[in-house]
Amino acid sequence: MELQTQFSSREDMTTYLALQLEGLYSTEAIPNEIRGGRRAALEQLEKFKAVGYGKRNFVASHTSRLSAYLRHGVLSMAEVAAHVRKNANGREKIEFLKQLAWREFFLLVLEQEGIGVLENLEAPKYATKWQNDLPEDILEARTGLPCVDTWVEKLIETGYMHNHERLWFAAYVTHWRMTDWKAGYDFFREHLLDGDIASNALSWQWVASTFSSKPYFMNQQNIQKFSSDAYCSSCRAVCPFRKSYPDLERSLFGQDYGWSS
Amino acid sequence: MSVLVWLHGGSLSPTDPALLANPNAPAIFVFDKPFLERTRISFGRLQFIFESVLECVEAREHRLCVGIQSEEIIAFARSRNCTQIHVTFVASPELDRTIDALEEAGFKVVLHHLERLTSYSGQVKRFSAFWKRVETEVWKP
Ligand SMILES: Cc1cc2nc3c(=O)[nH]c(=O)nc-3n(C[C@H](O)[C@H](O)[C@H](O)COP(=O)(O)OP(=O)(O)OC[C@H]3O[C@@H](n4cnc5c(N)ncnc54)[C@H](O)[C@@H]3O)c2cc1C
Repeated sequence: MELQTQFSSREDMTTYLALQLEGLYSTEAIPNEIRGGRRAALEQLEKFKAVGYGKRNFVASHTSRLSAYLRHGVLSMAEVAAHVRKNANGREKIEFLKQLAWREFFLLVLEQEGIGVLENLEAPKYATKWQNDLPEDILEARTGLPCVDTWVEKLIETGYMHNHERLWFAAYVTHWRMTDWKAGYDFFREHLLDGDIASNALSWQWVASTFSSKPYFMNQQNIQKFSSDAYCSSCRAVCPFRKSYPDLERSLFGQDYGWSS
Repeated sequence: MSVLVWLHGGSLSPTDPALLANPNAPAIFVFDKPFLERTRISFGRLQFIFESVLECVEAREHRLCVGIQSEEIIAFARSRNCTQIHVTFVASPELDRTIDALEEAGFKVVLHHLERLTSYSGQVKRFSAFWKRVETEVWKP
């Protein structure tokens, strides 16, 4: 079935596409905030000067939001790097280029391992029996934990999640809810505009400890600090993250990896 | 010899290497129905892809469609008497499968490559070791 390519407005295009692709997508047909296309990509790139990038671990910080364009080849890593070398300075420039290099690294691992990246690359570093499916309460954003539920809602609404939230969410799914990282990978692939094979599967494996020497996890203090207290002060839930790192290590993994806060 | 450029979800820029190498060739993009039927993908992702494809084909003959990817490419290539199919390579099982089907159908598939960040080509295991090898090049290519 051939698709038309001329539209009078974005709304018109959205309605048309929703109809033509009916049955082939899993969500409501709501238009994205992040627009596709080279023109939108160049606008976003032009605006980005890596100001404040040193604070990139704070969810409220201004990261580039270029990931969907890089993922779909709308921008190349080389041109993004050239822009940042020219327009950013000092530590911010270095930090950004290093993050971009993670993408290159994951792509090289994918080329090397092939589709093997969709299976555990290494044995998990703790004794675990992960369940296969993502629990319904996570999928439906009704875990009762305001932070987790908000991450899921925002992901579904915007097609984007900040890197630190991705780490927290992946740790929650894998270690607290003892769910196979592959279910998380599928969920991210469904919703993230930047969802790919390499960065997605290998980041989940990095958190799960099947592509790293120890599992990644966080505690409540870490979430409170880097979310700029978006949830914790007003949270009334029984918080599974409110423990010290040594206590969490013992309860989640039964061993001490020497993580510190 | 006549060329068809095949665009896919990893090559959606008007400056895509396969497009740039063939400025006058027609281009095709297919929403692969079997893949979308077995994989949960949000509408937002498909819209992002569609918007990006639209800009890629603005100034050239094109076909955008929904169907079985390899069959659609083969049919369009034959209708335009194309014997070569040019595509920008990304590592992906779906891409590999379609390339195999095109070659089996007798087409020559020519691969182009996206510009990378580094020239590194050795084994990779952990990021820290990789970063040590490439950081100088990444800062000042
Ligand atoms: C569990 C999990 C799953 C992830 N899945 C994906 C995915 O499917 N696709 C994807 O592109 N990224 C993924 N990431 C990496 C990272 O979260 C995103 O690339 C980043 O948040 C995108 O936002 P940005 O463009 O503002 O990033 P910026 O901080 O502005 O970084 C610039 C670019 O560098 C690359 N980059 C930055 N950080 C990373 C990283 N840690 N790993 C790999 N590349 C990075 C991205 O292409 C990004 O656009 C994942 C991370 C985790 C923890």
